[in-house]
Amino acid sequence: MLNYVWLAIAFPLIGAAVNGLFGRYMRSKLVSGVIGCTALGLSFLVAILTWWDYSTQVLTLRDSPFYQVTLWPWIHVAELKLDFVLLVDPLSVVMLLFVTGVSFLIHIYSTGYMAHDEGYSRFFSYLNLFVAMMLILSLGGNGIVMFVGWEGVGLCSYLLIGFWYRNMYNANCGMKAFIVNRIGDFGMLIGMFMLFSYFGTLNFVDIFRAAPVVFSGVDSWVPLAIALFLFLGAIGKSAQMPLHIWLPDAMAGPTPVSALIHAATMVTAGVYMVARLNPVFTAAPTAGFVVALIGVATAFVSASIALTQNDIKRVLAYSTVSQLGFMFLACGVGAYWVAIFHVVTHAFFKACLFLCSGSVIHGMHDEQDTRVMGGLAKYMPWTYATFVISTLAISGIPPLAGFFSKDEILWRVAVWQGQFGPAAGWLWALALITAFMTAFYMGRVTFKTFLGKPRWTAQYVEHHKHPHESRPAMVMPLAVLAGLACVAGFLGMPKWLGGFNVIEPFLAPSTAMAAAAPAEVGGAVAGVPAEHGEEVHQAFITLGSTMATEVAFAVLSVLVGLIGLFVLALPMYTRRFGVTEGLKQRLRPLYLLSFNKWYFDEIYHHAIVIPGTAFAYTCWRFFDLKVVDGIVNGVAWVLGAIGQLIRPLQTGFVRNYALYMLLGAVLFIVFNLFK
Amino acid sequence: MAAVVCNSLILSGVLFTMGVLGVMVHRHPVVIFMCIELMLNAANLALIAFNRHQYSENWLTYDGQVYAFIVIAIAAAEVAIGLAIIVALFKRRTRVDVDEINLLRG
Repeated sequence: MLNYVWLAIAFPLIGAAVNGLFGRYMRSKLVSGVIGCTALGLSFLVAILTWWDYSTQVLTLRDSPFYQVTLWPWIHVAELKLDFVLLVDPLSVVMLLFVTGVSFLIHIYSTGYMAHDEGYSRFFSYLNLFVAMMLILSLGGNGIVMFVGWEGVGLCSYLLIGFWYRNMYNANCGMKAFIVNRIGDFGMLIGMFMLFSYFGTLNFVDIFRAAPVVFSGVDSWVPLAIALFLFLGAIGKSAQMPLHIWLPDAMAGPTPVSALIHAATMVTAGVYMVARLNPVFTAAPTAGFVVALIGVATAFVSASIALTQNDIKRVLAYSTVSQLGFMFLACGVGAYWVAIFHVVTHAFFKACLFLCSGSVIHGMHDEQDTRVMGGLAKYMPWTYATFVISTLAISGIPPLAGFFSKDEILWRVAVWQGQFGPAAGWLWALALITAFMTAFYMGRVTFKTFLGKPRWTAQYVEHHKHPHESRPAMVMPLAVLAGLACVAGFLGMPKWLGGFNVIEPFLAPSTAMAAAAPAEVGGAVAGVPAEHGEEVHQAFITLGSTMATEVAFAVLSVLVGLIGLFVLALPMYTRRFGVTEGLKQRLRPLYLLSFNKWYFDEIYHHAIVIPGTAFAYTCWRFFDLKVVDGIVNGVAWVLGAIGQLIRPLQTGFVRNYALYMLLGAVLFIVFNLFK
Repeated sequence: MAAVVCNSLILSGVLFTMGVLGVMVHRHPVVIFMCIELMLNAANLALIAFNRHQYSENWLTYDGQVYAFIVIAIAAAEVAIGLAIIVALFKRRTRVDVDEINLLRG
């Protein structure tokens, strides 16, 4: 089955082609929806089979956990040998599974959410294409195949943000996302070029094998530069500071798109890429520190922004940026498997939250402002229940998924050692504050939307409308995702809870290569995963941190979550609703800073957009109009002038011409005679 | 150089000059045409004269004469076109004067 892993990409691609080419001839929306969902269902099936085969064959594959499927030779120029190669390893298998799984659920949800939209088949075509591209990105076996997927998901993101393109605002948001991503892509390309120039190959497996040797033979700035350029790509794609501004605006797209692309899958591509190329980042400790720093700063800033936003989707968008910051924090401290673990758990609960918000928006007749909601729990019980479960999960309340992954991140940060170890305490403190803010703003949005007195009555009664629960096609995926958000955490239980940790040993061959590196170079055997976990644990014990401290840390992070949710948010937005108005007045500067998103858009507008526009205007004014047009017009003018000069010769009299000929002949003869 | 060749070349030169002057001086297209024919035939005469000059018992050459025939053939073709143009002009205008036909003035 491993050789047929390309089928997982092919099915959505076929679905996209069918819906895109023939969608307009389909009379019934059912057909488009069924095609879209079937393609994803088959893809999910392939993913499960691939995972099963990989897990069962992993013993025979032990000499190399990386299984490469070369589909066809692609670009062979001089030293550059690029094949269209897919890489099946633990990391890509995990990505494959959760991407297809979550996508499948969101496709089903979309059949309900988009039921009244005229661009139905177009939507499914884009969505299928997106999944295909995301799988190319995840399975890509070399930098360029990955980059194809990387750009492909960017394109689909652009198409889907601007899905309702007749509205200028949506189209602009799509363009913003595309352009901001472009800045990151440029960094990623430079990183890839540098990799090629030092390794002579872009094949990931070859890079992994050669990394210790190559990096020991060059100056220390080389891995640092490569890592930072690659990280620039990750910053753009995963919406980290300072390129995070596109993600909140990406909420202009349909809500399933926000759930799928801008929460669960595409935005985690940056984290995936960093984890995929972890030998490069491991070789450059400074780069790891930068990653951690940007991660925690993004997490903190965007969580603080989410505290005051009123649009339900916007809160979730900033929450996504914040959670992505957590993932990068984990990558930065070298805990790549924790980052991927958080990617997976986050995909479940954040997709669920977004889909719930879509359900709310649907039920409230396209209202997104939490200020005019409230009391919806009575009308939308399923949405309420799933939203609360996901909120608890993201706030890190055990035993839901978010607790395990987030707590693991906090713990890994706290015990981070090495060159930048002394900073670990600060990173941990910031992360803990962020976790607290996360719990608070999630509580705020939950209670404001679903509890308290209804604030929509006045406006609704006039139109004889009332909120309603969504149809089963939408509720069912919510329930499944909420269920996954409950149980996914048990994949990675920490040692002190019995150590039933499945995901770390599974991912270790891909994400813990630094530990396994000597074996890789010397012979063929990769480090045995279970032992590696043991090693790490040993290291912690020698550090002086015992299990008791780990438990204490966990209790602390849970306490923080509980305080944020139930001690602060619950009374503030239910019983004592309105108490926040006083706070707003008292903390006005802070409130404005948060409400205006730390003025990032304004700063960019004045620092980049306006000077850029002025520069472009100047160029047009002076270079285009004067230089370029000047050259073209100048050539024409010179030719015209010459024409004017010799124009009198053309008298129109035949006998004059005869005279010229005679003169010419005479001159010729004379010249030849007296030469 | 044989006397006959010399004389022929002088005659050819005279005829050619007459032709050139005729083209310069006359205004009626038919006369101009006749002058052009005069120049062509002057050239033919020169060609034949040179052929005679080249000709010897060791080298039986007829190149000049062949060229003369070619010139005659081309001249015939040219006259046919030229006269056609003149006839066309006569149809459009009552008087034909080459100085009045100057639409192509720059």
